[in-house]
Amino acid sequence: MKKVSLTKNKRGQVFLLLSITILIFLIIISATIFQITQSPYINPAPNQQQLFDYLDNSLNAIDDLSNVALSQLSLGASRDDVLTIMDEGMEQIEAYLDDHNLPSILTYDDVNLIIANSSTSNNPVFVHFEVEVSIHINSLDLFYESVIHLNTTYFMEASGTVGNLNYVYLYKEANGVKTMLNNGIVAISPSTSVTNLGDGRYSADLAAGQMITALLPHNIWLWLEI
Amino acid sequence: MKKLTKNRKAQLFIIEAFIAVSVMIIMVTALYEVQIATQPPIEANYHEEVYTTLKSLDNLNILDAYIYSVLNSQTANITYYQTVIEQAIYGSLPDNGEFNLYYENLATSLEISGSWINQHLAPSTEAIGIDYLISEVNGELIPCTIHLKVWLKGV
Repeated sequence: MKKVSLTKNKRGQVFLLLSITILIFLIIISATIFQITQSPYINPAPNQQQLFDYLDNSLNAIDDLSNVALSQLSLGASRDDVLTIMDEGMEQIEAYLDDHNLPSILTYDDVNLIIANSSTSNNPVFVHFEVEVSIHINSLDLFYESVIHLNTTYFMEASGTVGNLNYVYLYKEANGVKTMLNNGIVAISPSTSVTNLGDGRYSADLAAGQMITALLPHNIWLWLEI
Repeated sequence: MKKLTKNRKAQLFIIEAFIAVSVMIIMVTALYEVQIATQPPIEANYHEEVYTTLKSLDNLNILDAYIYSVLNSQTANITYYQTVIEQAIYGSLPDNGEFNLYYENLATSLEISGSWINQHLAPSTEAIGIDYLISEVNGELIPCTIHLKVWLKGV
């Protein structure tokens, strides 16, 4: 049998050329398919949703800070105490975000921080807390910037004292939305029976000289002297 | 020398080569389209389910009521809130889902003693971790991170 070298044979040369072309063609197509499978649309970074959860969680935690401030205000805290709570709380939230690869800066302007209660610290018929918190997160995976405006007031009202079917009302007003609270605990001194009607009204036989005490969620206390 | 195109065998060879290239193009195109049309495997997204459950428990003040009970050694309340948390988290997991959790005080970076739920369960190597921050406990600033691990038995 006649031996023919591929490189010296015309057909062999064409065959080699075609083989190389097809090989290059296959490599290019494989590389394209590989790039498609690595696309963030087909295969998103696994932690993307988790990052949003951490962000969402931190917004909840900021809201919790206002509950701490309101609770402490109702128990007689000063403005300085509230500023300390805000500073420490925001520092911890920043640390939490930093620990989860979300370098963040949380700030608030104490000029815009408003606290109020109705009269003396021992007799708040309402407590009010208002602040604007700025959040800035700049990481490789997530960029987020926003300002959150927290504006919350808890207050108590009593109906007139005529007759023996009188009511105490508990309210929360958050960012302009007013709701009646049915999960408070109302007590009256001297001891008088109180019925929670479940719709934000608490019925009792009210009379002048009584002291009404309401304990709201987050350990927020309100007092009302009739 | 005869030209390749005028040689019968060469012509057949060229036709064969074209057929081979066409078959390859068709195959690669088919692969390409299958890749695009194929849905990624559907995985149980229990991470999101569990996070949503934690958030609901937080909004109902159950997460802070539980740790308040632990910090103040209120045995009856500890059992009650532990049961509520367990039921809620198991409810958001598949039947073979397991979890354990504990609270860490962020100010001290120490585990809060007695805060474990399901400490006896050993997480599988496939367990996923979820951290959840609460900053208020019964009206006081006590920032805690809940470290939760979730896994599926037999996976």
